[in-house]
Amino acid sequence: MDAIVLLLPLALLLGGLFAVLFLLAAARGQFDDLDDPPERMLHD
Amino acid sequence: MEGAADAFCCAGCETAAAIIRGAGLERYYQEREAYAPRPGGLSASWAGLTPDRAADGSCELRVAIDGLRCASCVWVVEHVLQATPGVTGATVSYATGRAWLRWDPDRVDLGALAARIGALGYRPRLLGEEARPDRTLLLRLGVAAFAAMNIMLLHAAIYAGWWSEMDPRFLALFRWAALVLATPLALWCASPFFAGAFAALRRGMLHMDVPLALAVAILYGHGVAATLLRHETYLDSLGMLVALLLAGRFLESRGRRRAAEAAVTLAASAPVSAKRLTGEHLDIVPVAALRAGDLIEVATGDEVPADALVVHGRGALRMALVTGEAEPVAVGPGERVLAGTVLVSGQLTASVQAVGQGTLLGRMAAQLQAAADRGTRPSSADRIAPWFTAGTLIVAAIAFAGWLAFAGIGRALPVTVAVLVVACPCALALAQPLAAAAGLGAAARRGLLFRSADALLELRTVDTVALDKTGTVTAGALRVVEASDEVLRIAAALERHSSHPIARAVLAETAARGIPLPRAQAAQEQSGVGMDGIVDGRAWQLRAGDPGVVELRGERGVHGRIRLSDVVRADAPATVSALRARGLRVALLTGDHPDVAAAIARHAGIDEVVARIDPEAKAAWVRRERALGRRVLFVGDGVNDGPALAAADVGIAMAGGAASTVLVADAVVSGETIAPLLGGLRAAEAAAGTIVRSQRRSIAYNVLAVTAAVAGLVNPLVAAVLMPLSSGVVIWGALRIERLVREVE
Repeated sequence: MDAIVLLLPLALLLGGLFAVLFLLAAARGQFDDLDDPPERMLHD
Repeated sequence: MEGAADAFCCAGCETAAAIIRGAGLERYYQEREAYAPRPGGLSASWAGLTPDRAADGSCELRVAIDGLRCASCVWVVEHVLQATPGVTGATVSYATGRAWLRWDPDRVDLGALAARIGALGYRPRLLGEEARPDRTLLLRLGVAAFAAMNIMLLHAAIYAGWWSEMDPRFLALFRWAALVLATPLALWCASPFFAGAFAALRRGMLHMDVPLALAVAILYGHGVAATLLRHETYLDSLGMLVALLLAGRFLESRGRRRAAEAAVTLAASAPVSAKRLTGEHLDIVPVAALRAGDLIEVATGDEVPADALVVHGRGALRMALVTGEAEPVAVGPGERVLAGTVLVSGQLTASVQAVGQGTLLGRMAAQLQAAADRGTRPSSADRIAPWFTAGTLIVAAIAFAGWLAFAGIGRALPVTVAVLVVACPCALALAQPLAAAAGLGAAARRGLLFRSADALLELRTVDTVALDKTGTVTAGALRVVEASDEVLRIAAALERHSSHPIARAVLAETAARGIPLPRAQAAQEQSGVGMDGIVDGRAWQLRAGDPGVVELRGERGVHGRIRLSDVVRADAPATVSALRARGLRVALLTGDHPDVAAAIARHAGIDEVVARIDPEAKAAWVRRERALGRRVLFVGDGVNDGPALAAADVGIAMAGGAASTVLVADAVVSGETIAPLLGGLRAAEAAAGTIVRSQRRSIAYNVLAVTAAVAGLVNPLVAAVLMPLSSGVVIWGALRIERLVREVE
């Protein structure tokens, strides 16, 4: 059970890492246009 | 193109083919699904336009492109632009019909790029200001979702600990971890609710943000205190609340932005430049540089840049934008021409009288804009909010007093907090934005683009539909209604050399009947009068006869007549009868002659006709009906319909209409049809019905939950289950809107 004291912050840290990655991607405009890139791919 | 002998109908097509081959893009012809439109000249010059330069010296611009019909169109425009020397970036979006360009102005100018797009057969237009996507809302939603899910996970462990004994050390750890996660959630993610609540309170109003902000503050404040004192917290409910509300807001803003973007695209305009004559010298200048008294030249196909007096030259002007009527008007020396009208044939030299805001078009647009700033109406949820907040606080106070008197402060405080928590109007606040977003989407899929959810809901209350004639009930373009094949054959041979709307109608009819076109010799357009030429070795003249009739005159007098008229849109009769079947009163308002109006009305199935009225009288008619207690929907297309659009409860513009009209209307029909009105009405009905049902359900939930809380039956686990359950019902209702609309269809 004592492992939780270590694992809980670790899990939050790992989850937080993904949250930060999402934030970076969103801030750079990755989610601004979700309609065109999938179509564009078919033509290259 | 490949393998076939290259024969071109005109120089424009040849240029387009050469550009495509020159850029190495023959593959376009293997991939296209639809034929591109024929290349035509650009109606205005882009050369006088200089967008801002970036730090590295390059220019960037977003333009709307008309005529993109399939993914291959997008492909060819994008690749042609990318293959142009001097262009450093070009992307074209099929979904929005926009292109983004970046180029080096020292190597290539915008005029050349626009001409290249134009030569391919597509039409570039300038976009006005438009809102950038709101990324902060997405960021807040992302953080809230992350925090909420982790808090829930921690709380699941805490609740599990109720039944299987839990080490107090771990319990404290879980609670503190949840508090750490909840802090950015409450302080940053939920800040739009606080901002909204403060703004409302400063204006002395209570709207939906006030009880929401109150709930967040109570939940978080209680969370901090309870964690310090080692009590139960409601932080999982807080996470759920904030994440759900942000998701609702995000969906709503995305739906609204799509609609606004579409409206901006429709209202985009070609940049207007003028050909100024200084002595013998002709130069192209932006319209803003024109002054009263300047001499300007207007060639066939040009938009008249300013209100001006014709000095010499003759021509035919299409006034549709200003008067709403489709038939061109002949002008000559001494007559006044208006900015925004298009010269369909001839050549004019004119002296400028008024420019920009001083023109009739400018004054009308400014009036419309002023009328359009009507302010937003409070939503029905906002109207409930004050009662809701007051009711919640009173019930909480009564519960606190009651429990304090009978069980002491130790029992009274948790009960009061529970009351305040379950009273949070999460589902109530979600009902409107979610249903509105779904309704806007359902209407948009049926061809009606709304600028706001308010207008969508307003549409349901309408009981009178007033339709403009030209461009709304009718297609707004002339069509041949009566002519013999022989007359048509000769006329078409002559009209091939003209771009007049009558020529277009004659050529379209000839093509539809499959009549082969002979060649005409010495064909010549007599501006504002007609066409001359030789067909089959005989001389012919095309001249205007009675109204709506063109006469073909040979060497021995009149040889035959072609009758033309603006015809009712194919889907207009069915749409009108469906509107009437819904119990709506339908009226036709037009500036045209009563006989013409009556004929069109009979064809479309409308009994009530108000003919020969000017734009102000249309607006007055709308105001009078509203004063009689009717709710009026006005549908129109020209600047002349603007005052009526602004005066109506709901104003809908047609896509082909004037830019300023599109911008003041509450909604825009996106295609060359009128049937989307019905789709919009059905979507409005479904959305409004769903909102009412969802609000009733969520209020019922709140009453039940608060009663349970007052009775002391609610603990954090019960709250954590109840809240998402009530919100889930609301979300389910919004998801059903599309199906509801389809069932009616």
